[in-house]
Amino acid sequence: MAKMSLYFFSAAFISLGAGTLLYFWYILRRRGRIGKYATLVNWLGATLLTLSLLFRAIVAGRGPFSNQYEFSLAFAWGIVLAYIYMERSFKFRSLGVFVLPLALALMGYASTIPSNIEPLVPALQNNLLLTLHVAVAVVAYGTFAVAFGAAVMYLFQRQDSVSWMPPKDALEEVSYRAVVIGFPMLVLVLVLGALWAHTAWGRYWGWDPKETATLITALLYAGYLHAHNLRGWRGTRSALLLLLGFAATAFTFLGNLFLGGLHSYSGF
Amino acid sequence: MTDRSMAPTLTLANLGQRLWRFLCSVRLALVLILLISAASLAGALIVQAPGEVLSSPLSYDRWVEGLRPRFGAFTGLLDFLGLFRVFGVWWFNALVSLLVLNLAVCTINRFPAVWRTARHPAVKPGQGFFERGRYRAWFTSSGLSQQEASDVAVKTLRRQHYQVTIGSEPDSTHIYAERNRYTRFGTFLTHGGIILAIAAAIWGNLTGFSENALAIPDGSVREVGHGTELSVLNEGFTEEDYPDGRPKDFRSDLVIYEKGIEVKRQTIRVNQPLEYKGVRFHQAFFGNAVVMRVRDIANDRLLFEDGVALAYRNKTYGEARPMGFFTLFDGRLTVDVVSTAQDAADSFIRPGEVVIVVYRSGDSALWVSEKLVQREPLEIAGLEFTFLREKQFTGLSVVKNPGIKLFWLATAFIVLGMCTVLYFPHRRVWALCARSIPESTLALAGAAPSLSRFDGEFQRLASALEQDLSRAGSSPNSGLSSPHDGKERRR
Repeated sequence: MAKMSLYFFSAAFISLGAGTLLYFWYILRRRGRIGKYATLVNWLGATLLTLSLLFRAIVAGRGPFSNQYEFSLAFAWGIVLAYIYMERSFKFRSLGVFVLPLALALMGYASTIPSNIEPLVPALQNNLLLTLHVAVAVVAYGTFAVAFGAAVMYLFQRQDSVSWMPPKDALEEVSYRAVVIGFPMLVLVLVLGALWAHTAWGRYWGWDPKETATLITALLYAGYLHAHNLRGWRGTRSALLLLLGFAATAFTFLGNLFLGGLHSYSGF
Repeated sequence: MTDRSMAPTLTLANLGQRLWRFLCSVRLALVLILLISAASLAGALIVQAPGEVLSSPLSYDRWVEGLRPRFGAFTGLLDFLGLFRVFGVWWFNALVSLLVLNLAVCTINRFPAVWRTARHPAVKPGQGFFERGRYRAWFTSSGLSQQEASDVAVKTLRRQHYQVTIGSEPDSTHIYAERNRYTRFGTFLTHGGIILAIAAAIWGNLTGFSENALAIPDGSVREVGHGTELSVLNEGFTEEDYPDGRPKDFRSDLVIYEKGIEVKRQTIRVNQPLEYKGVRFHQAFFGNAVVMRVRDIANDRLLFEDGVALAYRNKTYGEARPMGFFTLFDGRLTVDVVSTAQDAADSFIRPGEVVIVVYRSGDSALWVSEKLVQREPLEIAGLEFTFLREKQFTGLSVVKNPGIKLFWLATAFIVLGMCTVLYFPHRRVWALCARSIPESTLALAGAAPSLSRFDGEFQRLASALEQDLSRAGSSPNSGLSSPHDGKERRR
């Protein structure tokens, strides 16, 4: 069954890659049918990725969230999920070109690091919190990736609008909606993390690098939500804030690799 | 030409007003957020002084000196700016305090208006609202009377789960429909929760305690201290590994005594701490211990026989050598015990040997150092020292936080408030049936907080209304203006 997980991973990678290419083609040709195929293939990729994670969870007997390989896979899954939801809400297929490559990059990265399914070290032996804490995190990260993609498209159109991109104010709405969904989740991640730290380590907050990085990310997106109503902060400044927020997200995801701290469960 | 009497006077009231306005602003919150984020980033990237180092100015200065090779000329500057202890430095605390104050003032400032809107909504807006609002739609249905049209509107709105109130007048019917009337208060729940969480954290820090390094050798009892009357017996620590050597389980069998009487016993693991009367015992670390015996030879009195946890490192004895200590004669004499180096060949202390350093407590100028071989007693100044055997010790983190329940309640408020206001956004729709409106019998207008996206929903509502009106009327001639029609946009 462990092999099944790897097969599904490969299949998902191919499918999502094909989907991304189809989205690129859709931008070039602007034909509705290509767009529909892109969406379909993307859905297929998402299903295969879900199955890959599921098989891993079954084999391991726990949520597939315990080392860098699994985090990367889960993050990619979160991005694809968030993208699918936003595409359904807004119907902007060109967004796929800016968001899905992020998921592909993560899966590419995952394929280069050890993927053995290993039993949990004592600190991680808390199945409920492990699953909840990380699952909520990757979905939140996914929404931030979508907001990032929309912000990039917004910034491309700062001077002139691009014909195949959605209009600027629509892109602002996409970003905003994505963050509105993801931000409470990120706060929940902080709270669940605090709960787990309190159980395992006796303190709910200790300025551990990953804790601090998550807090910074949350602060930046809180700032973004509040800036929405401030004169002069809509538009370009907000888009830049979204780039900063996603940089913080990426830092939070990768930070413990080179910063150490209590969160270093790389599996290397 | 300036009229002196018109110059603004800097009265106390004036100052107070300006301060209040300053504290009310969201712009201030944004600036503070960015500053705190930058400071936190510094704290994550630059090495921070660990708790023990911060306990005394001397140890802190020594620690900073130790960083000079790494930071060179910048060491002094970084230290001066407090960047080695960001999360406790005065300006960080000031920024956070200011943000909390900003939150509180903003909340107090905005609450009355939101309360008023919820309790006394504007049921009858002026006609201009229907002509210029961001969300608006106009319908004409020639076959329907004013009463019939408004009835249709009410039905449609109710079907979309709106709560509807109707105000009838001879010339017009005003309809006010609302959904999720009270979810806006989620904002206040969240912000109040943030203030409560910080307050609970501070209170917990002030009234509780945290003992991070209680090392108890197997079979030994140690007091918890900190005003509790508790002591802990470690009946045995066990480490289990997976076949590949990675740790599988750390557990300790603990017995808790209160005033000498057993009150609780439990096997603790990293994720399964023991709790007794608000004091929690967490499995934190472990290591080797040695059992030492000290006898007063002249009086043939046993002065000490107990496990000594080798839980420390001291540069003087070599970083790789674990050490522990114990005291004699009511603490007047200290005995450091140093064991063989871990993970390195030790040519001086071999396995089965320890080195003891005996000195007057607090005064390490005069000391005696001897090497002990296991089970071979050695006499020093009338005292017989013996290194009996090796054991393990369990390292516990003992914590009491009286504010913890309040803290979790606050975090629940924060999350609940956010989900409420963001996932169940407030919706208001007004409909006006009047003969006075040119060329139509029904005008629709909507409003939603800017945090939510109302476009799609409003469009769907307008389409549904259009359908229902056309079904009810004979020949519909509805003009549907899209929500993005108007040049004026509400910001």
